[in-house]
Amino acid sequence: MNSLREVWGGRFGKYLMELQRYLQYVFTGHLAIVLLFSIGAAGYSYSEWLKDVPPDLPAARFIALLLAAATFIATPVTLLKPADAVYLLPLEKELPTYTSRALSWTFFSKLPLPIIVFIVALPMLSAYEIGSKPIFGLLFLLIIATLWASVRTEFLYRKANEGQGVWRDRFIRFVLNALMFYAVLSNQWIILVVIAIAYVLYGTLWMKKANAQPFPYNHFIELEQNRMMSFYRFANYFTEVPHLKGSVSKRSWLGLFMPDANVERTDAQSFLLRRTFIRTDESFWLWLRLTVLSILGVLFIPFPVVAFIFIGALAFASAIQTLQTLRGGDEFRMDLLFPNTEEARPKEIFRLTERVQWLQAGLIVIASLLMHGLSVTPFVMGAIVLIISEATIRLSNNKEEE
Amino acid sequence: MAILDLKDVTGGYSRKPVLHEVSFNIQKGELVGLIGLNGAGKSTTIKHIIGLMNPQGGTIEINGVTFDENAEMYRKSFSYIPETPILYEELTLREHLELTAMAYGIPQDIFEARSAALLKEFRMEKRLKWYPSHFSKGMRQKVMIMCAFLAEPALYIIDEPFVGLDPLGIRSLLAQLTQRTENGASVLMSTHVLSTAEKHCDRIILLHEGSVRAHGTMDDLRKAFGRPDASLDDLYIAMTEEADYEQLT
Repeated sequence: MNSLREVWGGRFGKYLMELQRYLQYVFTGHLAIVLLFSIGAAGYSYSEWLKDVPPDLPAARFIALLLAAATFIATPVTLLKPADAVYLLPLEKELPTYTSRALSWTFFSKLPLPIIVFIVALPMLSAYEIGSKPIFGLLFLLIIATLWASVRTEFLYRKANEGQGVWRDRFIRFVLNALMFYAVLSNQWIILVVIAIAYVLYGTLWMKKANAQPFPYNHFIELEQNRMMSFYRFANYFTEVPHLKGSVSKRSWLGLFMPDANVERTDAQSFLLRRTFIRTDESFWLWLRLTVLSILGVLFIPFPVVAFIFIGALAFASAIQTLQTLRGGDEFRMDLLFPNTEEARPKEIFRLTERVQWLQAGLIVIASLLMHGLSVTPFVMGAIVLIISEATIRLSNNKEEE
Repeated sequence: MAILDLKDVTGGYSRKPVLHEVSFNIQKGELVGLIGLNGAGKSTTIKHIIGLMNPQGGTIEINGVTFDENAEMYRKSFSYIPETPILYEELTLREHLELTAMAYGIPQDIFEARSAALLKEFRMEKRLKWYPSHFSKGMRQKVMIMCAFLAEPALYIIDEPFVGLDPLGIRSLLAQLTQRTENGASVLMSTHVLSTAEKHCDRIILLHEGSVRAHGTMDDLRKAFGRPDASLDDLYIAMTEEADYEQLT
């Protein structure tokens, strides 16, 4: 068997490729433009604000809190998989080889955030005449040290308690971190030493407790799965993520569109597809996101022709995506065995997609009425959504039949 | 007339067939066990019967109708319980039952009566609003079983039904199967639990490497293998050893 060092190395390589695969969609999509404008605007406002800072702002405390906020959450990135609970069980004594690498990656992956906060805070500290170059150097080293300690301590706490009550640990570390940063910024060296000793004692306590416990594979595996699912959910806003297929939410607030069935009168495929569309995260959020973007386009694009093209493109995208997600993959479903499923299912997919696109057209008309008042433009916009949706559905249907 | 009738069915996933001229039938009210090693062709046989695969040769009739002749009538005549429970993650237990009732055209009052009885039998009454993500594997299997029994078709096709079920669940399933065969329904059940198959099946079909090696009642099989006191386990092992010996010689 490979050593755990090689296991980590192999997984880490694959993990980086997975991150790269999805992040390229995230940062080449609309988020990149939004981020560019937002960062530019925020930078400009900040520099203007620095020219005339309010004199009564407790800047040292404020920055100490900000830095503590950037360093106290240190969820370990272990890359553990469900099968590890079985296959790595006999290797528990060698596990530190694996976890030390995992914690190093956790540390380096979390380091950019506090460093950015530190860099952004420097002009503010200068504006308030707090600190000097040696103090800033010490503060930088302290940021690195507290982040490292946070990563280690949170891991040990989770190992000792199977993750139970982790926010209690985080709160304690948040307070300790904030006090240390404040002690440096206000030149209170004795407080700094006392808090640092307290921190070391706190970390040692959890190290002792953690060493007395077997490694809680299930907790760390679940944590890792949740972390990856959060990433996939985020990436799913920009591109289709296959790992998310099948995740569902109850969405009882949309119960109006999922009335109780009368088994004699309700059509099976209509009943099933409606619930599939509303409760499957993939189909529902995709349609909603495109519809909201469309509405924002209507509200904020000043040139009607550009808005027409924008909402038309999104109507095409939402119609085609809805059709594709409702058609599903090749995997076996029980309704494949239902009587007359061959005729009923495609018809119902067609109908449901039509209906949600009508709803999109209706929402566009309302948004446009708010923007342009009672004129031709709102109805032209609604008609564009309807015509493009209908054409997409029919052409896609013909292609399917061929 | 046989409820299920396979005549010389040859088929598989590619041009190289997995099934070789498989023939057997199931009469009204019969519970027939389909027994074979892993890879013997049990699941492939079932996939051909339920219409998910087209035979390369031969015919399959349910109630005298082939899939090509009348797909709707063919499908209405059976319900299927797969080895791995396949549920809609977006539907509650009650919605699974309702969906089945809609698909098979069951009237509302009959649906209510049948579903109440099944929910009680499988002790799932309190889980009507649960989603599959909250079910254990056994519970998921129970949902599949209840949906299959709700339709009350002429033929039940059941693939490894006991996997994941607790002892009470197995007892309920066997009780339901007995009751339904007594009422005239037929069952084709693939299983590796040979003691249960021996006890409950009217006839056994021994499938080996895609062909029917032997079939009949336990007495027929004992005679065919020349082992008057053998259990199904003994006969099964004898069959595989015999086949291995034939392959070697």
